[in-house]
Amino acid sequence: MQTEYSASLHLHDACHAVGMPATEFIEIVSLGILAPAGDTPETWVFDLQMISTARRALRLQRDLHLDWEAVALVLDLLSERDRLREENQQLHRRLQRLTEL
Amino acid sequence: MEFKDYYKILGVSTDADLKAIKTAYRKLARKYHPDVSTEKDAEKQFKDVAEAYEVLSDEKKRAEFDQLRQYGSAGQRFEPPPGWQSSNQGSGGDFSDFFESIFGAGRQRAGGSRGFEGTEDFTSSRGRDVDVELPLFLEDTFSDEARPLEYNLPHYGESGRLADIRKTLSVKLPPGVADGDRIRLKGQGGPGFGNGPAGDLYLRIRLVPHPLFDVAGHDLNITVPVAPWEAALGAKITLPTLTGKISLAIAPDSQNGQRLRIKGKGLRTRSGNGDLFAILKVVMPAKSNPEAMRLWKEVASVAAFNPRREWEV
Repeated sequence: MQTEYSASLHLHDACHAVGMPATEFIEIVSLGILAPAGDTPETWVFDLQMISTARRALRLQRDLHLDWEAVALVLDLLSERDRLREENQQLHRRLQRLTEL
Repeated sequence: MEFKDYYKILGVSTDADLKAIKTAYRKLARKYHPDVSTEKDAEKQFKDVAEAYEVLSDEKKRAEFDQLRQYGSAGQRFEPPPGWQSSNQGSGGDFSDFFESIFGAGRQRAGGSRGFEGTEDFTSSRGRDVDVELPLFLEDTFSDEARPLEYNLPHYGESGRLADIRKTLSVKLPPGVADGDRIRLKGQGGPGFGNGPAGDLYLRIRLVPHPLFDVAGHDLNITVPVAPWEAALGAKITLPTLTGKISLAIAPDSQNGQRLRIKGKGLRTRSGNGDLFAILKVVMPAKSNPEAMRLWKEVASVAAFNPRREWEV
């Protein structure tokens, strides 16, 4: 019943967590899909949000038969969509509080 | 189990060529991919589509499926004919019982999602990573107590079949968790295969909407109904916060929609607290008595206020 958390991973562990070879990991970093701290692959540190993004990228690449450039574009558009959706929800809630109280 | 007609799922004819099957798959995959789709049941639909493609895009599997199709049709109960044995190997996906009854159970995948098997050999591989959503009340983000967490863990039984086991864990959340945050619990995911280590558990925090407080990052908004005379004269009111009630002074001549910042009464962050914003909302009484009406008239005559002055150009 331990609750050990770990908030960041190096490249080797990140590859394992995502299920992606290091060469592809290096490629998606070079495309800006992930921006780890550290200058070289040996010193890269990935946070958990990046791990989840990498998994999402891998699913999109495999399932939709996309190349990494297209995955990068899809991820950008998805995050913009998510941001707008959240903003929309917030504004909607605020409007409701002001007009229906 | 139910028969799945893979041709119907992809919406292609039984004599469709590989190109048509690929096109149909790509179109449906874009529509139902759980990372992209807003369709209802997207995940389930996508699984069906991926499974159909797995079979129909593989010449050998497709031939076997065509053979079996004579024995069942969509929606009907299906059992493979006695003595049925596939020459194909399960390819390690997360497939339905129907698929596994035809092509055999897939072997467990190492690491994360589809495909990549890591460097371990087949007899010993790392358990699956598991994603679990953790709904959290805003009040709970202030608690330092460990909380019980129950979740399902996919588990390969001796037969190689996938079944969920229920697991309970006591989790202490790091202070300052926000909506959408992820927390990794090492070794709490799916059990390893052979001598392989267990996978990890990833918690995704989801803050449950609160009846009074709206979340904006680490700040909170609360809408405060005030009477017109409270806005005009100023008032001292009692304001609920997540950590107890406080007293809030409303200045004279306050406006509807005005935001008052109460420092440090928002959500916890790793360093200190966010802020609480009280947004004033002037509310009229439903009905005024004659004396109040008389006084309103008096206010109207002495206030000399035209709220629509901007219209008069």
